[in-house]
Formats: sequence, structure tokens, C-alpha cells
Amino acid sequence: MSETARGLIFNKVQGSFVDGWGIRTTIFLKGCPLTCKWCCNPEGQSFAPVLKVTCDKCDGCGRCESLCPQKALTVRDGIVVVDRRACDVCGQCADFCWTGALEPFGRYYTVDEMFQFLQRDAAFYTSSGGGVTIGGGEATWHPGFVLPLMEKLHAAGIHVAIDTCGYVDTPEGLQVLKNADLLLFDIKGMDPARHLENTGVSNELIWRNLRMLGDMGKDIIIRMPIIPGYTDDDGEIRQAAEELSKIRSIRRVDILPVHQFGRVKYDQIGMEYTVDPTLTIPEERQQAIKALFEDYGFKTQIGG
Amino acid sequence: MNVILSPSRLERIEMLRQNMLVEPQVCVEKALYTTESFRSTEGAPIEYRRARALDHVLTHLTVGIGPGELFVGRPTGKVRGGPLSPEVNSTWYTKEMDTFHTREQENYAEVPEADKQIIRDCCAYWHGKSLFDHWQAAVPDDMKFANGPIIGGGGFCLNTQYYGHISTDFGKMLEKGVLGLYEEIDKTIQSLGTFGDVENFTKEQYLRAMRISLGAVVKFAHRYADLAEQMASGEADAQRKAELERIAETCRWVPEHPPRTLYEAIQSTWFTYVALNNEAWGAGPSLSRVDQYLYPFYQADKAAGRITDEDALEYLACFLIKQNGQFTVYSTPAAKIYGGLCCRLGNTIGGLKPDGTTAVNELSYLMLEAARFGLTEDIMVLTGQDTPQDFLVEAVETAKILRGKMKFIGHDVLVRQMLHDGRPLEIARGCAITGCNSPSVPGWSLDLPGGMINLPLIFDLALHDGYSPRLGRQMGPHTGDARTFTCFKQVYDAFKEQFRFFVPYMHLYKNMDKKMFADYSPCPLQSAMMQGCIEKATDITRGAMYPYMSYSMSLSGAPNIGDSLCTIKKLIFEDGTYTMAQLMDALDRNFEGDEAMLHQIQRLPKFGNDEPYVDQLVDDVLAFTSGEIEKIPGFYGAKSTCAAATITGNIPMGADVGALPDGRLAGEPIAEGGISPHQGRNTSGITATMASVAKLDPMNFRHGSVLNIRIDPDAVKDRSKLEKLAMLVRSFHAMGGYLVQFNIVSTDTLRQAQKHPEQYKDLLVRVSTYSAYFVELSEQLQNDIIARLSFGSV
Repeated sequence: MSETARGLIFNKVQGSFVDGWGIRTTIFLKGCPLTCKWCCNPEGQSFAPVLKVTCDKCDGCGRCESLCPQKALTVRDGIVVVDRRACDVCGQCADFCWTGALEPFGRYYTVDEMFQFLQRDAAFYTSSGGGVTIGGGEATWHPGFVLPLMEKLHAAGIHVAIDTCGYVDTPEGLQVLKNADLLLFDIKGMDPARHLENTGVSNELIWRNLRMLGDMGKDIIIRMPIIPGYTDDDGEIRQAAEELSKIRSIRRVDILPVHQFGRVKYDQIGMEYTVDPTLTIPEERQQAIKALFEDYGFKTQIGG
Repeated sequence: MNVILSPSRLERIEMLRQNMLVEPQVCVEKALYTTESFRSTEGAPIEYRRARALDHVLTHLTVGIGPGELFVGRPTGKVRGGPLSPEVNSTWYTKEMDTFHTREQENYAEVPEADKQIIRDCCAYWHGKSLFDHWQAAVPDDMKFANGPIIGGGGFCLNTQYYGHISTDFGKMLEKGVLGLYEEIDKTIQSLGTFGDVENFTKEQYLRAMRISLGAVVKFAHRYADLAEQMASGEADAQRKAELERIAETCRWVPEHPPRTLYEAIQSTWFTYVALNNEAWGAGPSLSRVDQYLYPFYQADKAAGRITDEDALEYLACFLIKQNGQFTVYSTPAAKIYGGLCCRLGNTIGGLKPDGTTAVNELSYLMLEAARFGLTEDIMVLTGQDTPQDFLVEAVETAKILRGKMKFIGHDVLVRQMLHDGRPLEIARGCAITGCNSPSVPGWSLDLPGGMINLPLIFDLALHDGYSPRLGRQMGPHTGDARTFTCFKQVYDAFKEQFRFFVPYMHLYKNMDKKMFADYSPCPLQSAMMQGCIEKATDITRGAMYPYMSYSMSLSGAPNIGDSLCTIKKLIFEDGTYTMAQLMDALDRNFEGDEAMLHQIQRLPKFGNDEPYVDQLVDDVLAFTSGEIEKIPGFYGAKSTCAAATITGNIPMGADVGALPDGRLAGEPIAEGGISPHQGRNTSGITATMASVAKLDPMNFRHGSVLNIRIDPDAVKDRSKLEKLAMLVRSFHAMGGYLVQFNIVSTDTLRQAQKHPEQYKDLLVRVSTYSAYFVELSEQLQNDIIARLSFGSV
């Protein structure tokens, strides 16, 4: 774990009002062990950089064809097409794509570079009780980058939240959770088989980790995406509330109603979106779920 | 505080609000009576003529009391009116009056033929006599070439604005009343030596003019007392009858005497304001620290059990709505800069007491609640480390309800700026916001603006050897062919040389403007409301406020210069990606066919993203330019200072500027707000933008600056997010930031408003530093607002 370890970051947000207490800077690490069907950051799933293609923006000029060292780009019917097996996401095409149609998702940062960036907003963290949130992707799967970064942030007195799916069993990955000042912990249902189908993994490890963190007394905010037909079963939600109520250090529960903001990105990176794009949750239903958690004594809010 | 108003009170407020949403009308009365008076006083001293004119206006101006009004006094003869001031500039009214109702920017109701006849007659009288005519004669024609393009919005008189961008001491009127001020004047007259000495005689004449002006305010109030009495006698509704009787009694008492209650204090303040505006209409006088000078009356009323907080809230709501009944009539070019149909009579709340403790009191909270009824003119909130957090959250929530209409000014930096110009600490802490964003101490200091400098145009000249391709003429000195420049310093030096060349011209235009006011348009009433003018028997326009005087110029487009210098430094001279010649070719082609270069330019660091490389360049540009400006003093020894603001002038200024190395295309607006990042370039979040801006040395723009940030309504949808926004404001000010305002409105809402203006008549948005009714702005300005900074995802 050297401080020159690099992390692949696909997004950074300064001045975030969500993702934890106060005003925060949130970074998104690329690579996640889960493949949730409704994922709104699908570009964060793969552990490798990926080239984003926004077809609407492409004017078919063809310059990228000749610029690409891997010959992975061709223009067909006036629109660029990527051979994703050949593309190594070097980014040379993007430097010259003035329409912005081609853009790589993901840039490598060293721990030092990222620390320099994150401490820029230190004054805002201090005055608001905020800090840094490391999300993804999945932060616990990048311990070689995240642990030294957290160490530096803590040395500078900066609060660190980890946004996690909880699916990790390596000692280093668990250390990331243990070192966090706040955990934004995702819960995506109770039924292990359904969880496996929805996310690609079973939820037993996730619940074990959550209970372990609860026993440690860690500040936890539970985040529950409510996706009709996937995670909105009444019985399961009630059961989740019941189970969560046994964990003492949960500070808040956030109900995250389904939204379609990430859908457009699936096309851009050559993935398929399988969730019904018209899904919504009526306001009354959102309020009912909120009320349920409040009945269990949780501070609950809709949205992050 | 959460004061709940009864349905009947809410009904009154809603009625007043609706009654204010009428079509704006031009009012010719002030012009008519001023001209009549001047015709009858030919040859008399100018102070006397000005005082008589004010008296004549206030004796004849149509009076009216609307249904349900608790506070009375129309600034014009209309419910929502804009007067004409041909005595300031008579050159354009007759040319534009036929199109007032059809022109694109700022239109009013069609002017009736009878009124047009009055306008023609008044303008004929003032032809050759107006302030602007005097200015035109005083500045030789061959020295005027920079007025307009280089220095826009030059003098007040050019834009038909009076010497009214001031903060007077309303507390003085409340404490003494007109009678008390008479006493002060009489005492000074008695202390003058023999009138055989011409100097003494002149002073006495001046003080007598002051007395006439003050007397005019009382006459005006008494006319309202008469009207209210008359209306009361015919009123069938018992409650309204009682209200009218109370209005009559109040107008009979104030402002002649000191008020006895909060109700009387508000009425006295409003009459004083209306009279001040009729003496010197333009970028209106500020209402200054409302929650401070009214507070003793609130306290006394509460202690005596005379009022409840419900009463106080209703009064303040009525007062704020009343403030919307007036605007300044601008010519088309001026309207492009000052667009928005308002008078900019800011209400400043919060801040510090002279002893340095927080000045936030119950009235500060009530002002915020009153503002939520909408339609208010500007509210400026002074905040700092000791400002109570709940007050700041209430303020942010009010800003949200008003769709952003609220300015947050850091009082710590403000006090430092005042100290820098030699104001004693206790005086500095009394500071209020005047005009859009300028600090000034009510009654103690005179801090006037004096035009906006188009920095990007000067940069354009530096790139073209002093020639402006857009304007098609040589304007500046020959500073060399930019194609042959071989280092960054050469480019920057060319800009500096161009800038230095124009500095004396800017000062000449501005200082000559101030001289015209001193010679031809003294303001005795305004002077009576300032500290020391009575004792010195000297007018505010004639240096009476020395040494607390500053005249500023506004540096516009500094972010464009910083971003442009960044391109040249990085892309040309550090990376060597292109040569200067290639860059110049691209600029002269407006980047047509140079999309690759433009793309690379757009990817370079830009101001507003907390990137030291470019932020430092912007800071350096501001330090250099303000340093040059400050070298030449203002008229009567005023300090020369700078502001960094554009109001809406960034659009017309941009029209004169060719493509810039920062990637801005020819003719496009330049960066708005003076130090707000160029529209759409701050892509790193609010904190990064604030950090960039707060990093700039505020001593280089002591006369104000503006950071505009647009926020999606979703980002402030609940209390916890509002608290974060309040923390953000606090952090910005702790870091040394000056003014920030949030435009909390969705793009969709604005597009809907463009399609269906009739449904969005009350949609208030911030246009640069002040608010305007969105549907009354030109389509281009509307589009510019929509294109402005957006942080939808916070």
C-alpha cells in the first residue's frame, strides 16, 4: 500500500449536499462486484476505464478513425462505432473530439493527487461539519488506494464517509469499512435468492458486515433503493426494518425511489438497460415506506 | 419566529400585491413641474432653483391612496410609475417615447399624445441646458471616443440618472423630524458671520434652500393627510374608515415631527424616501439598515403593548410591497445595462452593531418573513461569523421562496474594505448596501459608481495593435502585431499598455460627470440627510462628505481576461501547441474551421473551478487594473476605487468584442457579475466556484462585486439542505467572499415562462445583481439567464 497507489476515478462532485453530513466532496471509484439491474452509474461497474460514446453529439467527421492507435473506431452511417474489444481507452480520440461525442469514463489519480484535490474544500468541511465521501463503484474493493487516502485525510482532520454495498470479505476491504467515520450502507432486499438475481451476489455477507459494523458502534446511514418489482416487496421491506432495528448505530434511513437518470449511460458504454424505464413509485407509497421505518424508530428521509 | 397572520391580514397583503402587478406607466408630472418651476426661477442661484422645483413637484404631484393601503405616498402620479428627468438628459425622450410600449427591452404602457406634447415641450426647454448637454460641452469631441464602448454606462447623467446612488441617514429624520432639522439649520445660519461676507451669504442661501426642500416633504405629507381625511369621510366600511383616519393623523404628524410608533416611523421613512427620489431620481437612494433604525420604535411599541408581532409583520409586508411602485425610465442602450424595471432601493438587514456584536434583532427576522409575500425590492442580508445560524437559515429559506431573490454579503470583508479607505471602525460597521451591491455607510460616506470598463474589448485591442475589428476603428495606441509576440509577457504588457492609455479618459468622463452635478444640480434634501452637510453648509455634490468619499469604476469581464491569458500562457507559450499567428488567425475567423483548437481551449483550466493556475491570473488582472485606476483621484478628492460587476451590461459589452482566446465567440456576452465565472465554465461545483472567487483579493474591488450561482429548487427542498446552503454562505464569507446570490429556479420554469408570459407575470428572477420580472426582459436576456451557471446535481 504505497502512497503512489493509483485509483481509477470516474466522477468527482464538489459541494455535495447529499452523501453524508454537511457539505462534502464525493469521489467515485471505478469497479464494483455487484451488477444491480437498476444501477444509475453503470459506468462504475467495470474495473477498467471505458470509452463513452454519445451518438447524438457525433457529426461523423471521421478524425477519430485515423487518430485511434488501436483502430477501434469506425464511422458507419455518419456515426462513430467502437470495437470495445480493441479499445484500450487511451483517450487520444477524446482530446480531438470537439463535439464531445467521445469521452473516457475514468481517470487514474495517485493518492497524493487525490488528497491534494480533496483538501481544497477543507474550509467548507470545517464550517459545515462535512467531509469527503468515497463511493463508486465500490470503495472497499480498492483498499490499496482508499486506505492510504483515508489515512492522509484523517491526519488532516477530514471526516471520511464510505458509500458501500457491503459486499467485501478481504481483510483490507473490511479495514476500509472499519476506518470510516460514517458508512452509507446500501440494503437491497432480504431474500438471498432474489438479491442474487437482482445484483449478481447473495446478501448474506452484506448483512454479516452490517451487523459487525453495528456492533462496533459505527455511524451508519442505510440507503434503500426502492425499485418496483425488484426491491419493493412489502413483506421484505418490513422484514428489513425489523432486522435493521436490531442494529443500534444506525443514524438514519434514506429511502431512494426509483429514477431513470442513469438509463442514457447504458447505451453510451454498450450495456443493456433491462429495467422498465417507465417505473415510478407513487408519492403515497413513498410516504408509507417512510412511515414504516419511522414506526421502527428510525429517522427517515426520502432521497439521499 | 413564525408569526401567523390572520386571513384578513393575508387578504390585504394579497390585494396590495395584485394591485401592484399593473402595467408600468411613464409619468410626465415630475418633468412637467420641474420645468415649470425652472422657467419661473431663471437667473436665481441653482440651489434655490432646485429646492423650488422639488417644492413645486411635491405640491402638485398627483396623490392617491389605493384600496387597503396602510402606508401611503406614490413616488409618481401613477400606481406603478417611472418619471422622466429631461433636466438630466433631454436628448432621447422624444426619440424613444413613441416606442416605449413596443421596444424589446423594458417596455411600458403607450404614452398618450397629451403626455407626448408635455415631453416635447419639456425637452425643448432643457435642450442645451440638461446635465448631459453640459457634459457634452465640457468634454471635447475628440476625447469622447472611448465613452460608450470602452467605458459603458459612463456618467450618471448620460444614463439619465441623478446623484442618487447613496445611503442617507433615515435614523436622523426619525430622531429629529423636519422640525428638528430646521432647528439645526437655523442654528448654523445664526452661527455664520455677517452676510456682508459673500461666502457667508452663499452658505446662508444654501441652507435656506435646504429648508425649502425639507418643507416640501412636509407639504407632500399634508396633502396625503388631506386626501385620507376626505376619503375617510366618504368611507362606508367602518374598519377602512378608521384606517384612513389613522393615515390622515399620521401624515399630519410625520415626517414633520419625530414618529411616536413603528407605524409612524415606517410612514415617515417612506415619505422621506419618496422626496429623496423626486429630488434625485436614478439608481435610487438605498433604504439602508431598515431593521436597525426602525428597531427602537418596534421595541417601544412592544414594551407598551401597542403592537403585536402580527401587526409588525403586516406593516413590513405592506411597506415592502409599496416599494415596488416605481422604476427608472431608461433609454434603450441604458436599459440593456440596467434592465429590470426597478429603482434598486435596497433594504439591508443583519450585520453588525457599532460595537461589533451582531445586529440581528426581531425586526431582522420579521423583515425576512415579510419578504416572503413576494414582490419586494432588494433584500440584502449582511452575514458573518456571529450571525445566528437560525437567522441565516431563515434567510436562505426566504431566498428559496422568492426563487433566489436575496443577496448575502459578508460583513467581515465589507468592514475591512471600509477600513482600507480610512473609515473609522464604528462607522465602517454601520455599512449598508447601496444600489446593487455597493457598500456605503448611511449618512457618513458617499460611495458612487461611475461606469463599467469593458476589459475584454481592451484585450481585443491589445491583440490587434490598438484596432477594434468589431468596431472597425483604431481606438488604442499601437502596441505591436500580436502575431509576432514571442512570450506571454509581451501579450500581457500590450494589454497593460492599452489599459493605461484609457485610464485618464475614464476618469475624465466620470469626474466631469460629478462636476456637472456640483455645478448644475446640487441636492439640498439629500444633503440634509447626511452627517455634516448642515454644519458645513455644503452640498453633498460639492465634497461635503470628504474624507469619506469614493468614486468607483466597475471592472467588467476580468474572468474572460484571466481565461484568455491562461490559453496564451499554456497552449501557446508553455505547451507550444499553436503559434500566436495560428491563434490570431483562428480568432479573426471566429474559430470557424478551428474546432480542434477551440476544443483544446475549452479543456484548459477555467476561472471558477478552484484551479490556482488560472485563478491567479484573474486576481492579477484585477490587481493591475484597480491599481491603475486608483492612481488618479476623484472629484473633490474622492478616493478612486473599483467594483467588479456588470449588472446586465455583459450583453451589450460583449457585442463589441471579437472572439477571445478563452474560446468565447465574437459578439457573445462576456462574463456576468464582474467576478462570476464565465457562463457555464464553472463545472466543478459550488464550493469550487466559491473558493475561486473568495481567493480574489477583495481590496481590489472595494465598491462591490457579484457572484451569481443558480441552484435547482431540488437542492433546497428541505430544511437539512437549506441548512447546508446557509453553511455554504457562511463558509464563503469566512473565506473572504463578498456578495453571493442564488437563483433558485428551474430551467423548465423559465422556458415555460417564455412561452406563456401571461402566466408568469410575478416570476421574479435575478438578473445579475438585482431582480426583475422575467417576462419583462428581452428574449435574449431571458436566454442568457437560462444559459447561466447551473448546478443541478448538488
